[in-house]
Amino acid sequence: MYKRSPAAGKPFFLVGSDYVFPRTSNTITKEQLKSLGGKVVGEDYLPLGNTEVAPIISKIKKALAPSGGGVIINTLNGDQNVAFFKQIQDAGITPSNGYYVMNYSIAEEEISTIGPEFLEGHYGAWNYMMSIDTPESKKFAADFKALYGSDRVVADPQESAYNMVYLWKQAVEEAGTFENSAVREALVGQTFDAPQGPVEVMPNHHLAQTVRIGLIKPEGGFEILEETPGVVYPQAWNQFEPSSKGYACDWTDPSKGERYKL
Amino acid sequence: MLLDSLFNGVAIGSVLLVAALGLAIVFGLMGVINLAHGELMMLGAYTTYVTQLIFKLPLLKPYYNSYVIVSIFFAFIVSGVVGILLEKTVIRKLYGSPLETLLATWGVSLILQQFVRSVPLAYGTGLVISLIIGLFLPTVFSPKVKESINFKYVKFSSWIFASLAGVLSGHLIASSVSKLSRASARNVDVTAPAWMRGQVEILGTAFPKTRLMIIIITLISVIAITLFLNQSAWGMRIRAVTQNREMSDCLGISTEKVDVLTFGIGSGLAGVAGVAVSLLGSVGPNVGGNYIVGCFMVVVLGGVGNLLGTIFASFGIGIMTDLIGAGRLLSIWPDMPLPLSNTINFFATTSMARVMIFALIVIFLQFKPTGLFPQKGRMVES
Repeated sequence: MYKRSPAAGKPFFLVGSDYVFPRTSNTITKEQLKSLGGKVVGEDYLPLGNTEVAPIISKIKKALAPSGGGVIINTLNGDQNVAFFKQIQDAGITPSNGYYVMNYSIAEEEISTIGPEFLEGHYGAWNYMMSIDTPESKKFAADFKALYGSDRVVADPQESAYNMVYLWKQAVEEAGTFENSAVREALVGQTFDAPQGPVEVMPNHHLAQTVRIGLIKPEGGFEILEETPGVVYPQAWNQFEPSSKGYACDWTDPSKGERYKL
Repeated sequence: MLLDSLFNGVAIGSVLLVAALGLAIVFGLMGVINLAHGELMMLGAYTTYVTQLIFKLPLLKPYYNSYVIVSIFFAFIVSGVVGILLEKTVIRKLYGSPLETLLATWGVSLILQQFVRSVPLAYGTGLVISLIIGLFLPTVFSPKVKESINFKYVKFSSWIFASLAGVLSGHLIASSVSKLSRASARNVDVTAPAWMRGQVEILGTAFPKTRLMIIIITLISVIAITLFLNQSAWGMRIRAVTQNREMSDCLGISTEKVDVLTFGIGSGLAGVAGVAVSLLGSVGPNVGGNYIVGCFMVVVLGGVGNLLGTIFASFGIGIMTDLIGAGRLLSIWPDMPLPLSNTINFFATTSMARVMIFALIVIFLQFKPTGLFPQKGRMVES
């Protein structure tokens, strides 16, 4: 997917809030890009709560401007995104100038809060997007609007929460009890026809889901550009990063557990 | 390149300066440690948000582009009035006991944060409107009326009128702007009008417009407050009370009025800072907490009781933040020895630059504990 994406051959800059998730996520991103032949030209982290992004902007410009733009991987948290997008637009870091931001925490809800005029032309990656063109997805969005108001949008986190309740219900029914460990055992292997498509609980207690990449539209929401042909099976340990390579997780087998060698 | 760096430093510094200016007056001139200063900024930021939504109503829609300018005045008044109320009810009783003031104002800051979370903004606006009317209506009567024994009834009835006006206007706003009629703990956003977004090119370098706007707001605030303190009669009274409270009292200056005025202006400036901050990021209950430490840092580094020091300190910190955080030293001097360039690279991230700045300030204060420009002359307290 990387080879035919417009990001191929462009330099990457990684921006995140300064805590464990962005740092871990970017460690994996760097390893993955290395094996795909991508080039990371810089990374910086904003202390949580800080909204002064001027130094980061000048670093991004210094790193990406020589190649006429590039890709920014954004793992900022919450309201720091607002400061980031307001200020990069003012600094001329926009899709029309060749800078593209890939976001892992901007969904439909955040787009409407930050304002699509700041996010138009940037990208997002999720399992569920409101614009998925299937009867299940449309019904889910319509039901959500009917319950919470026609001006509301529904996004991946809400869909996940919705799926979880049904998966838990099926596990309880199969186990025939509310008892935690029995439900946990029954949970593995449960499948559900979610609004995003079929999902399945795997032995490492993560979900196999479909992954989508979307382009943020001027009126808000995503235009889905790319979709995995089927579900992506979850890996608890990343296979690009040297310290976790060759490990996996399987809770159904007591001899394997959290971390075992493949 | 150099111009770019200087501009970035000035831009960061002006945010610090506009935020610290009000505190420089309240803490510097009055000696009040006001931990609610950040929350007064937050009220200014929310005022910008409310003004923006009101200007989206059909009646005011043609003037939408000017809402930021209008909101600067609104924010000054709103934060100023809340500050005056704070002075009259809490701080006045605690002059001379800094620790109690510190605790009390911290408590006030928590109350204000929870207030914007749990009260719909429309009714909050109504409450502020009734405060403004209630505090200022009694002052418009002629001295003859004020001296009569029935004045307390006049005062009382003006408060009744004020609360009626507040309830009515709150209800009016709630019914016309549905976004303001529900209480919400979620952050809200101020969107700058189109003419304030994007860049403007000066001397071949592109500058972000919002940053320029903040620099202009800061510049105007600094000039206005300097003129007020140095040229006006009330400014002279404020300086007199700052230098020698008892003597000023003996010479017929109403120190009580001076205190209210000084605190009101300091708080109002916090409101103006709130407008500036709302243009940069999102507006939420915690927005003040993010700036309060920076404000105190600037005032202490500059020297308590000295506006000039505050100005130098904030621009100094701004330029240092950019120099260290963006790793500019390396591009100015590319072939420096390896150990030095490694050290600079290590600190060239936003988090580590902050650590470095704090460390430098601590070291500086070891040698000059009273800051860059210590107050000269004899303060009565010392």
